Amino acid sequence: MKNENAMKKLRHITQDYTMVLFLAALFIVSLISVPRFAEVGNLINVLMQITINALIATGMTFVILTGGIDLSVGSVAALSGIVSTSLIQLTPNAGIPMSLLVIFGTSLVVGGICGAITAFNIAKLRVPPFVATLAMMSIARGLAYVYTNAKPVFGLPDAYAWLGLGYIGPIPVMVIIMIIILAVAFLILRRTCFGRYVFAVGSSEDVSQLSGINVKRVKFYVYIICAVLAALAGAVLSSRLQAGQPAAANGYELNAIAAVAMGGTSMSGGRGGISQTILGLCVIGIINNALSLLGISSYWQTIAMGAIILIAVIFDQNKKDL
Amino acid sequence: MGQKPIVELSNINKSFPGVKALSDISVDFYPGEVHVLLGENGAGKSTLIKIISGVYQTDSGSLKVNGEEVRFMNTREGLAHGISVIHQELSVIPDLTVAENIFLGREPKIAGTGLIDKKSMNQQTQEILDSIGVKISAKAMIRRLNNADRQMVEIARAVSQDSSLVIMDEPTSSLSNKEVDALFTVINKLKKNNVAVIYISHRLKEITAIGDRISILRDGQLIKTALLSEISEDDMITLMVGRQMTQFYYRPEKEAIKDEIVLKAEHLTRSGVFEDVSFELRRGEILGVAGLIGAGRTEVMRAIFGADKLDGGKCSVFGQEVHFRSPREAIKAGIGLIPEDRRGQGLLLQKSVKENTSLASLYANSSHGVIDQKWETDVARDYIKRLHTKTPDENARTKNLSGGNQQKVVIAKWLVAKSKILIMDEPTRGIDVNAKAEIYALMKEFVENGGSIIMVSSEMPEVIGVSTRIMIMREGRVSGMLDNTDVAEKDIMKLASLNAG
Repeated sequence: MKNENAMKKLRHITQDYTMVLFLAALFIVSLISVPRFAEVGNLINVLMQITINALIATGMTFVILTGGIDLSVGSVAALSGIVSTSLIQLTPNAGIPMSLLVIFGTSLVVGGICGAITAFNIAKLRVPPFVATLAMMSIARGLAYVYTNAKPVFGLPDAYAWLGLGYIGPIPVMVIIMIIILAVAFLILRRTCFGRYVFAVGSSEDVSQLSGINVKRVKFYVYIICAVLAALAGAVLSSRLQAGQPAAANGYELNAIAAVAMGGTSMSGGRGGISQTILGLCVIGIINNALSLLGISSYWQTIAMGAIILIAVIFDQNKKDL
Repeated sequence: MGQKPIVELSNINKSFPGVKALSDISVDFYPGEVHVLLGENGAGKSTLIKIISGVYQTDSGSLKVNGEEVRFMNTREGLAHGISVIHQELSVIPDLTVAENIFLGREPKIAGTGLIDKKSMNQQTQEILDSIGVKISAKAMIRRLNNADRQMVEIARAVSQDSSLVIMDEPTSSLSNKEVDALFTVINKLKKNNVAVIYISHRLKEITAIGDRISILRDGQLIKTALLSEISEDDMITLMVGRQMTQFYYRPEKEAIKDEIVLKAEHLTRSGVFEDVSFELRRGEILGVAGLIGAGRTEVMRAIFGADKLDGGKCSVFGQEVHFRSPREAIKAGIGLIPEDRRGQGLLLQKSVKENTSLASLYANSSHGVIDQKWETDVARDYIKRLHTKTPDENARTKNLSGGNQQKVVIAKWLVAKSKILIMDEPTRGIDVNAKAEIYALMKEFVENGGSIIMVSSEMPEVIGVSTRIMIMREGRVSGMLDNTDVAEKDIMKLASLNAG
């Protein structure tokens, strides 16, 4: 009986077991057949490798749940990395607190501004999300190049690297950040009215509107959340790389969308959530890690990513009819 | 009429799951004649024309075209036999020219190449347009044409396909008087060219002006076919509605109705949609709103609820003048809307009974935006019990419930939101008889507990059986207000379908 309840709960959280089983199978096969995969160091490595994608994919989950899409996340991340590293250059003696302040402050401001512009275009001016975020993708990337003259921002204080490279005990700092962000996002989507409205808007804008939900405001916030998290990912990436690269995070929108779709969140909105995205992130992380350990070129990983998105969406489309 | 009929129907039967849509229909359509189909919503007119044009197939009975028995599996086969339909919603493509629309899919080609012979296409189109007396250029973009001209293009397309039978489904519903005259000129041209026309309309004045013969349908049966010269408008209405009243009366007790006016609409106008609509709703009352489809009833209700903008007039709720900019404000003022399109606008089909029940009152019952999960589950279970909603549990998706149970979930949503005024648009459409009775009982309970209801309905027995007063709308205006003490369907139908005067 207790077991049955637990199963029911698991089913409720993930909406179906297929992905859980797939992840479990993938994990076991990798444990057995991929050399060095099972080492603790490698497993922590997997977590570090998915962190940047996890931050972006979390925001992307909000957007996709409303039935939208955000293609600008990679560019916004790059711009944020540039701004953050340029700011920290101004204070060469900065300690860890100052670095954190710069990183989080930049994320809020750069992400907030980019997100607000995108959100305004989509919610108020009714520009389709695809177009509005494609435009922002181009603008933010362009700004990153113009501001740096296409040169990387180097020579950062050592403390700036703590977030991206440091550890608290055995756990990397950025993994802790990822876990906090995922947990907060999970609670927002599951436990708050705003989270419920995100699902409602994605299920049907008409019904939401007629039930008294401020549809425009919900849409507005999801694009801001997505851009702020993308900006955070970019700043964390710059900390990890110890440099601000205008070409950084190129194509990351694809990874994020792949993680969301892979988990089973519907691309047309309304169904899915953070637990699904976590599943997707783990699957993609393990596949990439295993391919690397097996010595397969990273170009193949790109091909795998494309195939993953396709398979996930085909699966989702055909599941709906059941 | 010494001619042979173009289309002969004999003993046509058609059923859908749970409904007998047509029973034993036999009727002939002659060339050069306008044959009117008249009947209430749901009488079977649409099913009949869909069978003639090939959308549906008959269960039994025969369909003959030019004396030859046929069975169309789709509209293309119907078209090949010279039968074309002009639908209420026009199906021309706005970004193509008139000629391109008319020859869509069968463009004349320049010999030996795959290229379209534009010159010949435009020329042929112009000839067709001239032949039916329509003054539009073949090269005009559809987007630049008004509704009436777009309709002419559809007619021209039918003519270009050598149609011998043209079916027009409420062709005048979006036309002005002048445009109607132009349409009639074209129809008369068609008659001269020996084309048969089936004409569906609710506007009796028009029917008498253009029709030669009329068939009246009711509840899937052909009541009478007659020459229009031999039948009066009064007879038409009587034949159309003369059905036995079914045995349900859920009208609230008169004592329940208080003098307090809870909603007052004054001269509400939304240009081109409805005009000068005024009425009052009292506490404890069910105000029925009758009228034909397209009379503007749904639109008035959406505007009152803040879902659409008003261009003029004012609205007061509980004595206070209000200007709702969104449904959110209307809901705060105590109004709930149960929309006509339950699956598209009333329910989140992918979401659970629980999530739908709490949707409109989630924030009000949260603590600083955090959902009170216990409250949500309790309230959902409570209303499943109180409304006798048949569902496995509160977590079941509403998609899997029957129509009646889905409607109960929508009603629960507004009861939870503590609405004092419910606007119900076609509340029992597509719901089986037992569930209907339950919904009526809920409505009665709601008003007897001090609520008030505006019920838009196209079903006459429902309007008469449930409402305390009945407002009738026609073509965007209020055409009558009846105290429901001794109202007959006939009176309502007259107000709903006759042109003024």
